[in-house]
Amino acid sequence: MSHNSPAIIIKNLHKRYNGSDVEALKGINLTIKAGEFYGILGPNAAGKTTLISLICGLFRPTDGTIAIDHQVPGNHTIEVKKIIGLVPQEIALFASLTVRENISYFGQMHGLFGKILNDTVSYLLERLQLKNQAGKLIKECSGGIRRRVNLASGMVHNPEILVLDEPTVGVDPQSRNLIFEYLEELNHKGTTILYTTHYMNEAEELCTTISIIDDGLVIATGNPADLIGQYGDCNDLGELFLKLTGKALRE
Amino acid sequence: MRKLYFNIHREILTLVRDRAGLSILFLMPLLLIIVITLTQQNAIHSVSGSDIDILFVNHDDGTIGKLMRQALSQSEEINLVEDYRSKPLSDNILKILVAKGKFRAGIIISENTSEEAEKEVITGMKSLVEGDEDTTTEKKIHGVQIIFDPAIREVIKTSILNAVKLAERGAETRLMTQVLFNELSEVIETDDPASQAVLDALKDTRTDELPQDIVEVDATYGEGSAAVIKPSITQNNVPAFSLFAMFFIVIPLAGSLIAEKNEGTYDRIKTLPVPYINILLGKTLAYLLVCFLQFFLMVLVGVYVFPHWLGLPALVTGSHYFAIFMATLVSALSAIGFGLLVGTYSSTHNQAAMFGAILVVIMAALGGIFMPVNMMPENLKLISGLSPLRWGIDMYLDIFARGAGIAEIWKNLLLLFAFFGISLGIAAKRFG
Repeated sequence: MSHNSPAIIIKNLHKRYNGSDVEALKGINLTIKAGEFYGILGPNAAGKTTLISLICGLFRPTDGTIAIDHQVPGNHTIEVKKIIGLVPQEIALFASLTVRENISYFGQMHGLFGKILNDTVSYLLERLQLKNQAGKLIKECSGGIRRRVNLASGMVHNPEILVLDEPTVGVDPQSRNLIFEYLEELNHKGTTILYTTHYMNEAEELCTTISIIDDGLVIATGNPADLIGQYGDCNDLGELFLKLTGKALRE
Repeated sequence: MRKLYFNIHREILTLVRDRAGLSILFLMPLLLIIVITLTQQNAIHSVSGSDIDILFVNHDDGTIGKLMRQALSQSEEINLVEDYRSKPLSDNILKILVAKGKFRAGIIISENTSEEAEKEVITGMKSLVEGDEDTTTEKKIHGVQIIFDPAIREVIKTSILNAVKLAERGAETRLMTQVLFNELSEVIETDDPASQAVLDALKDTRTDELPQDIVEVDATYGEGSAAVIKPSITQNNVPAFSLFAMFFIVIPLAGSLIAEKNEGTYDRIKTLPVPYINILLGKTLAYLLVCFLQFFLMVLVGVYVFPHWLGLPALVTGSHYFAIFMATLVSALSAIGFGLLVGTYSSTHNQAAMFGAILVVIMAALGGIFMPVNMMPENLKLISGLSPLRWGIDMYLDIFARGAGIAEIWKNLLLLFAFFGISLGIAAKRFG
């Protein structure tokens, strides 16, 4: 995937869940370029997790297409799955396995084994400061450790596109800082990052491009600084977000 | 293939680290089989053995009282008790003791029962000799009374009743023979001294000295039974409860599927470049190993622990080892299939545990684990034919009690394998 070429092209994406009268996504159009640190912002129930789930192939869209790395749209083949890494919002780990076993398992499912797997897992344990916890069962780990293992498990296969769904929820400042540093390092090495968050300062600090979505639609897209500049009365992304999405409480 | 191995490894690690789950899978079935077999063995012993104490009061001085006492004393089913606290029993004490449940039954033989019966026999004989068309006596003599404990089990009551009826019939037959001999010697007049000597001898003959049980009833088993296999409660219980235990993997297996669904690992797995059927096969093979271990442990208990430590009959495995292996393989697969189905359609661990466990018990009851299918009402028999546990039990009983091989069990092998295939297909379609 060459830098700045389209990594993900989303066209007129609609999603209505079974049994629901309301569309979760109402025609999303996005192009995410290779090497971008792309933020998706939105209030609760805006459709962020639905969008990410569709990109990762967890379910099929009601209408529209998603093309990843020039593959046939809508077809999440084994090849597409190999280049995507998902770090879900919830701690999606095996509670009865250790930190090392969890990261290794996800690596094994991506076809890694032997020395390559061991070296990669050891590097991630070291880089995310998990080395001392490597033999600990997940169910015995703190929230911050679990978050870092969740992150490591999604990137053990060194994906070209890393999708993170609110990866810093409930994380202490030290862990959050460590995660940011590592994500920036990955992005500088060429990994395309798609990132959803509630924290505006995170998006402002990390993302090269953001899209604000609300009620299943994209309402603004661009560089954070440019977007803030477009609305003269906004000093930061938080104010812009409230201006665009309103102050009414959501679900 | 390598990914399948990693999935099996993960499942085994998860299982090994779940101590509560392991106890459900291994310790509980072992305890269950030991407790149930000991209880059933004791129940059989108390029904067919000689330790049912029955109170006995005999007021009859004649043949009936004497011969019934003799016959019941020799009976294998019951043990006559004629004293209570070193004092002879009265009718009243007998009734009180039985009513209080101290004894399960009491027998009272009324005074003059033999004398009245003798009169009835003579009347009947005379009618017969005089050519009356109806020689059956209208008068019934209520000389033998059995009082049962109100809480007695029906099977024990039937056993006692049969033993008493048998003793009474025997005594009645001998009384009739005695009356016949006496009457013949009275009625027939002869001048021949030799004939008179025979008649006198007949009159003096004590019928209780005549030979009895001349024709022996020999009980054997059907020809299909392997010569080495002797039917016993162990031959039924070990395979039946091994199957029952296998189906209890529904709880950890369905639980693991639900945990993956609810904790997000399922969604994460779906983003991996591996077909979901690979994950399901990993679970299948890990739990298959568990089922074989369960079966092996149960067989070890049947072969070694039962006879040496518990005084129970030993399990005889016979020589159809391939049939046993295949039967265990498909039984385990069908149990896994059931676990996958429950895991697929339950939304919480509690739901799966309750629903799965209750359904296993119902299927086991329908399958004949707790009561033989031939004792069920016709409608239930039909329904029991739908239970995979019935297919499995029938197959195991064919092997362990009837000495059957692959040629005799192939239909059930296919049924159980089909059940697994369909269950796996449904789970894969639903999850994949």
